[in-house]
Amino acid sequence: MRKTNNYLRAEFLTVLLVSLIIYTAIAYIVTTPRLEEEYFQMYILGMNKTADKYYPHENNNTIPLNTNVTWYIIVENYIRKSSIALIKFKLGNSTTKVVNNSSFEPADIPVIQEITKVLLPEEKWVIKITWKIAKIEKINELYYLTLDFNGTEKTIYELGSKESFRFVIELWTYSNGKFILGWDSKQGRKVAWLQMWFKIQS
Amino acid sequence: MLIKNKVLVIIFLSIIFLSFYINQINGIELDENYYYAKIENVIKKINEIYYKGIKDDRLNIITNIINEAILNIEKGKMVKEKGNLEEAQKYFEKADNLINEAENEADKLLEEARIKDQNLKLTAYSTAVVAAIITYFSSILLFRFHNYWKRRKLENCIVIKNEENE
Repeated sequence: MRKTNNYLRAEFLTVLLVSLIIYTAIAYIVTTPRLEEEYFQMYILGMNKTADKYYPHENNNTIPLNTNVTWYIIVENYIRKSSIALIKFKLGNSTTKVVNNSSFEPADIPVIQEITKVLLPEEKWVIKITWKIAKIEKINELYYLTLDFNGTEKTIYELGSKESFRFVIELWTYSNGKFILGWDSKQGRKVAWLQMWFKIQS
Repeated sequence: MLIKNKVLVIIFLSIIFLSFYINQINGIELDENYYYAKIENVIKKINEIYYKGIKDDRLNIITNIINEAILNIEKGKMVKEKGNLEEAQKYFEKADNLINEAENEADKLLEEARIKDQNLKLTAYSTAVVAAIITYFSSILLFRFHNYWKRRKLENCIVIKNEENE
């Protein structure tokens, strides 16, 4: 009888140990943050905050002089931590060198405006930009544009001889003492950028 | 001779004043990277707060202060590029104050977050131990009930068998 009791006691102690291990594992899972994919999401919407009406004309991307164009740039932080995000608005043409996704080189074109903000995890940052072409000049077969960007700045750019131009919008983040193109994550370095083509109505 | 001495004194005093003025400007760091590095430290604290379970509006208040500081840093940077060091100094000084304010707020919240996290861990692990003990006793009870039910069934069989024999 005593033997049976000892045997049972051992069995019950096993139950106690196994359940203790299981419940401790559950407690660990509950109190420890899980690793998930880390990324930023960046996209652009038109004047009605929808994925259309990017340009004043319905069917083409020609921008007449002194016509306001409104875009919304949306940046969403899913890198599971707060981050200093920097958006660079650049202007180039059809032949300019844009972002290299594998070597992480930014577009080699002039910066029109930079906007910086701290983003909390899962925070959505909406940037409204309104711009217009204030002046177009063609000197020696080269275009010079004067832009009114967000009502604050007018800049002249020498943009080659083609009539097709593009805005390049790059996402930079602050990492280890400097701003880098894209962001560092556990899955490696990632890059997010957008480009918006437009033609001028001269 | 006296006039010459006076001129020398004026030059000497001017040098002292100028060096004092330059020192005043240098008292505030005019490198924007210094402020971004400070912000990065505050952000590390914010991340710890977030992971320790505080995700409410107080975090937004801290990030709003930091965003205001960033605006001042950028303004300071622009003014500095134009060569106006005195105005740049004002912007950087304001940014520095805002970063310090954000850091103080973050420290307070971090303290609260750490206590909250400790309590959560304590509750979770003590619940695990209690649950294991409850499982232990309930398994004993279940076993006893199972034995009792088996014995009763056996006894009924014996009674039926005896009745049949009789």
